[in-house]
Amino acid sequence: MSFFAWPYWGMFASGLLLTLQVSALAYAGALVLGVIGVMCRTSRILPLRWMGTAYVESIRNVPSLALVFIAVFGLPQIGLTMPLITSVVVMLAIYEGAFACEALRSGINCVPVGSAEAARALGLSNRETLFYVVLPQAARSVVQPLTNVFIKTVINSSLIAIVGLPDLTGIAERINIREAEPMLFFGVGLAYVAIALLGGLLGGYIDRKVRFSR
Amino acid sequence: METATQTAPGLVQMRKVNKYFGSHHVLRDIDLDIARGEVIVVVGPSGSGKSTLCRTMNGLERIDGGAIRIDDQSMPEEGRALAKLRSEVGMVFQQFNLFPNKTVLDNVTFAPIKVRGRPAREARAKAMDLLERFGVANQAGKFPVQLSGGQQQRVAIARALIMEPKLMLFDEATSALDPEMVRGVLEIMQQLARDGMTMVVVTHEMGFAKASADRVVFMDHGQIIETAPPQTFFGNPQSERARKFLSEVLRD
Amino acid sequence: MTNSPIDRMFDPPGPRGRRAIRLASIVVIALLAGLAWLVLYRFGKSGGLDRQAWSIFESPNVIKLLGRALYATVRAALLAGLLALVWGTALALMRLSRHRWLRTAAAAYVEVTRSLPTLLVLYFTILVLPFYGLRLPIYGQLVLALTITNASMISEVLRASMLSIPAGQLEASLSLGLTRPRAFWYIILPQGFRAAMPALVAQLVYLLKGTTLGYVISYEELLYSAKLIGEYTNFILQSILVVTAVYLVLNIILSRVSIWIEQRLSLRGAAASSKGK
Repeated sequence: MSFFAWPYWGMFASGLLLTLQVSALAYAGALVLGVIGVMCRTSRILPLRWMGTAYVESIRNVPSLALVFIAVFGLPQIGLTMPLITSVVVMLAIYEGAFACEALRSGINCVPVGSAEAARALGLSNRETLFYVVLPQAARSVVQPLTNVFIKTVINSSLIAIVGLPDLTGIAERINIREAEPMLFFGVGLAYVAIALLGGLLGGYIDRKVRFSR
Repeated sequence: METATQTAPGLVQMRKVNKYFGSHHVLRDIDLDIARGEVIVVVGPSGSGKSTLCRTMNGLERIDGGAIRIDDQSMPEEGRALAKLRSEVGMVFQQFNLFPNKTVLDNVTFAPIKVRGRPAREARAKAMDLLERFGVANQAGKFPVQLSGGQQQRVAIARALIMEPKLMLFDEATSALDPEMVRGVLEIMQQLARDGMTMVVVTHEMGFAKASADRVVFMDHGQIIETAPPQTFFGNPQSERARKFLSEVLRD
Repeated sequence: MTNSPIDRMFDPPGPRGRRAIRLASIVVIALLAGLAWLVLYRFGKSGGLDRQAWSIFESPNVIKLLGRALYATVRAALLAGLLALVWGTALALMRLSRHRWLRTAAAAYVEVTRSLPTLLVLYFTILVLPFYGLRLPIYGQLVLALTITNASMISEVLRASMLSIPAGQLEASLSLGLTRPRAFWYIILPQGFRAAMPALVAQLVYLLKGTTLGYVISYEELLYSAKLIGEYTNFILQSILVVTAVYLVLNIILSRVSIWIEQRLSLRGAAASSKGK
């Protein structure tokens, strides 16, 4: 059978598309939650700090699959009904959001305190110091960790296969249950590796750009 | 030379200033007056509180007791008032603290543009002028990481001076420099002193104190032990602790 | 107020600022309380907070089941953790070898397995391997999948850690006459381990969380047992919540132990001397 007559191209492509869509949406959500999270964790308002810390610490210590199940079984019980795929994307975003928050926080912590002191000594207010001096420097060290969060998001998106959604991993499982098709596994594995490599390359490119800009 | 401060208040007035870091009493009952144009050099062993004293004068360190007045204004607690005061007090740090993501020129023009709203062209012209004076004009387009320590510190002094401050604070400005670069920076500071700038200089460089100080303030364990003009302080120290300190420091 | 760098970067609030913060704190607490009440109310209305739903956890059968499941979870995690550690160390050393072929082979393996979902590897072991004669018990399948993916992550952690050790350490060892492999084994690797402790424990936490994939192959770990309880009693959400709480506690304990270990190690001065700060 020739390479191009492989009967599974269609399913493979649709699985790839679903994986990419879910990962992209979840990642976008994770970034938003990460920003909110870091604002909470660095806020002077103590209850917000506690919330932010509680959020991150709980998520980090809890399995993502457990969270997916809680979303699938629990959200309807508090009145939030939504299609299966929405609830898993939301849960994935919440999960990865904690890690995005930590990535952003480490970026800010890396900025030398002296830079902020120099800015304040020149007469900048707290807000001006944050926007003109601290954040630009933090941005330079944040790209690498955020790229890693993206790759983790793609890897974790495979969990949606357990609830029956046909992403890359789901396709591999479905088809192999009927008949052994190891090529599919290699194809799917290759797809994940390719996504991770491309993501890493893109991240590296952005990182270089950000480091040398004014 | 002591200037009369009985009628007009000095530029800096500190009364019974106290500060704690946790349970550590780092500044004890500090009383200090600095007149306009005076050059005060603060010396003392490590941990004596000299850096902290310097940093209280532009509010980087909050005090826990007493009062500080700069140019007859009490030190604001927060907000715009504090920022405004700081824009009129220049500070040079031991670690230079230039903004690494900006060029040398942008480092110097940053404050006039963002804090005072001066037009960019005017700020750049003044900046180049200062950088020229300090011998680093040809580094204007480079980033701080590309400069030596001595060059970075000169840029840092330019960054502070461009704001035309009433008072300049030097927190161990030469302590992080290689020996051969110290002299260049000290010369700039000496010229500033001759030009009449009010300066508070925390340093270990006794040569600078002897040459440029109007008064030497000796601190130990958070207290001002002795204040005297340099000839008196170095020639005939009054207190036992000052004598001990000088004998150890001037040994090499 | 904690003393993190972020807090030292900005001016502490003055009296006006403190008042504003107090006000904002009250508003936030009120909002959060309101939200929590709303969630609990809705949950209660749908029967989630009924006595029945939670009293099942007092039943000895359920407790025994959960106890067995806890044991199964920890057992899988420990074995997979150990194997992943050994294999990961080997990979890290291979990547730092002088022989290019070894370095490249290990690097290729690591880059591939690092990017794969553990779930995919698990499906592979249960669906494809049997066709090539490798039919492992459920326990073995889970441990194998966990080991394959976690070993490469551990190898990256260790490699980065060993690379961060000052070059002088290796130079000194070689000057004393140690061969390169012995220098690595006796000097570089131990220091690398010590420096990597927090990251390694984080990896163990990740691995422990990964045992939930046993659900897919009916391995009776905690999450699968929650499903079983749910099928018997119809209260699946509650079981999942309880099991999630168990994971939370387990992992927090693990992290605390790691902090304790780090403190003991640094007291012995080993970490401090190798950094020379």
